[in-house]
Amino acid sequence: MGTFKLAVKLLFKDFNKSAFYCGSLLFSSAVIFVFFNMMANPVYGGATTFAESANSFGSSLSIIVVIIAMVMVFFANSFYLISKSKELAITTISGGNVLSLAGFLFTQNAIIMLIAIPLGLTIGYFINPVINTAVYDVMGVSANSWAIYPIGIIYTIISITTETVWIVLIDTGYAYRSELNDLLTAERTMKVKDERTMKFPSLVYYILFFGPLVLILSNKVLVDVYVFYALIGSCGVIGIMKFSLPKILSWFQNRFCLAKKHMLIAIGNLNHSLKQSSSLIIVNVATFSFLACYLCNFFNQTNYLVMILMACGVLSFLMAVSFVYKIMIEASARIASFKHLRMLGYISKDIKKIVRIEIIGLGIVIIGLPLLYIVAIFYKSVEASIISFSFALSIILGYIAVFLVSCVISYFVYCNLVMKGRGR
Amino acid sequence: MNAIVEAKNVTKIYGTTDDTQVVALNEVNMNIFEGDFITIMGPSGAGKSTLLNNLSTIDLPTKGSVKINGTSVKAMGEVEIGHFRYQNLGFIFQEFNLLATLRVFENIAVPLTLANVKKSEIKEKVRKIAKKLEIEEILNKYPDACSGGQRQRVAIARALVTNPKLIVADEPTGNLDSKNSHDLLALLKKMNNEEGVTILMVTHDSMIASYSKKMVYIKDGVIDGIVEKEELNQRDYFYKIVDMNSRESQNLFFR
Repeated sequence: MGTFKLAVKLLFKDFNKSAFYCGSLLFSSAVIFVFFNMMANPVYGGATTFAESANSFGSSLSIIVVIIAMVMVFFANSFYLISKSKELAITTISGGNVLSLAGFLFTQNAIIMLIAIPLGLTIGYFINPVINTAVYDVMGVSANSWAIYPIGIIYTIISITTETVWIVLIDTGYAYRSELNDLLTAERTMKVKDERTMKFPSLVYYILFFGPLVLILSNKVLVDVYVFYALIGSCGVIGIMKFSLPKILSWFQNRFCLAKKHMLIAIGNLNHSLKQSSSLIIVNVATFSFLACYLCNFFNQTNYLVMILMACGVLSFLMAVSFVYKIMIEASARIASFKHLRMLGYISKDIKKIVRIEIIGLGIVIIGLPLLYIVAIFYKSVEASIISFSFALSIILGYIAVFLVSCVISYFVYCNLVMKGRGR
Repeated sequence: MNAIVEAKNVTKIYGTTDDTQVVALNEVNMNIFEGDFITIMGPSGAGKSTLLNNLSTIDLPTKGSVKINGTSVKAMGEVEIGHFRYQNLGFIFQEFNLLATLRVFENIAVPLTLANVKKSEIKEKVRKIAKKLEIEEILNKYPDACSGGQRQRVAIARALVTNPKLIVADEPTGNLDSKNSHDLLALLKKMNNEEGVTILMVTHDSMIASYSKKMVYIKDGVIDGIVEKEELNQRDYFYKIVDMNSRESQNLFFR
């Protein structure tokens, strides 16, 4: 059987393995379509020509949204690649080379994309007027809700093409780099390598993260500069997540959890999950700090504010979905570990508690780190009467609510994965 | 002498419909007494691991009963099974089954933590067993950073740290080289002889089986023969095991 036939057969035989990936592509296509159309909408102050759009506010916001949408697709793609690793291994064992592996992935990707992208764009087309109508009502504007703008379509095509090329490159790279043994064990491996070429002490990362926070709180309000501070803070998060926090958690585990059956396991798992989720958390800190700065800067310009609030909503949702994906990837690598725990004497109740502690810990870090920056930026802005207290509070509560919901969903998804077919 | 494990007419059937049903165990009777060191052998698909799983609470028989210390496994709920496992059983598997997110120290400590042992006592017991198994220098490492032999020692340390009444080992040497395999078996034998630990092990290697006191040969889901070491030396016992294992081949040649 040729690579093409095998890829098609395996894709449809076990489509639920690719369902999440297909769904995320569909969703991101819808988001990209709706968002670019909004950015080109003159009612929101959008640019209707390329020349205008090059310097418009909406373009910079769109770039952030599209990047996050792509991050979500990237996570979904990683999950898809892991679930396909055994099929790739079988193709390799059967004599397949890098090209046939790439062909295998390309075929499956092309089919998934052909289903997801047109469907996503259609959904986007029908969601667009619903959002427009709601926002026009708030703004007290009367305009055609169904209007589609050529510049929005062009940017949508460019983004989706970029996304598609990116995915194909990633998957081809995966096929090229992966050894047969790695492919066979990919679904249950949990290695995290320290690939730093330069090693800094933890203090450096803490200064990078907390230093800008201190500067925000101790100086007079400068919202434009806060974007730069948030960027430095995000660099600090990289080190904290990958190297400093794991050390603290290991110490905590050894010092306080040795005699606690749930904490002992949960802290070990949390430590690993945090290392694995570092890129997601870094993106989270940077994105929401930037958005907080934007909200403060354009609080009095209603049309821009509407766009930023839309971006906040979409990005919170995308990040929350990416978080659930990440948990799914982690949980599927731990199915065997939880099975071993059962053999040692842990029961379902214990396993649920272990998962709960881990998710709470992850939630605290994922919600908490960006929140420090958001609160600091809002505090100074409220103090300087740039934004109102009630507005700041509602944004913060909205942000927390979205991630809390994703934590609850993650908990159930995680439990479902590790308890499936548990036997005795 | 009281049996730790009593298996009566144990039958295990996989599959739900008549055409998919496979009888993995058929009316198996077996008793395991304190201080026993029993090896289960047999060809692939004979039901060795199924028997081991049914005798050690991992699986339930379709028919028949398994009693451990007089209590029927079928009558135990999830909580009781959990308690029973960490109080009485130590598992060693071919794949080591260590928790990748915990360091070696914590991996060994898990059964003690489950048994609500105090922190100071946990540290003392882990260090003691680590010294006995010569893995003290890797206590702070993650399993991924250890060799196969070291990982198997960690798995053994975890299985022994609570002084279980019964050690259950499924192909414990399957992923080890020859030296590590014999070191492991020498250690299990020593514990059986000196500390009276009961061991139930599945292996396909006659040399490894020769460390035990009794070999149960299983074929097509039924016990086909038993070889006891009794007064034999290890070499003669080994030959008897080889003889039992190769009986079918011998019959083929001399037919």
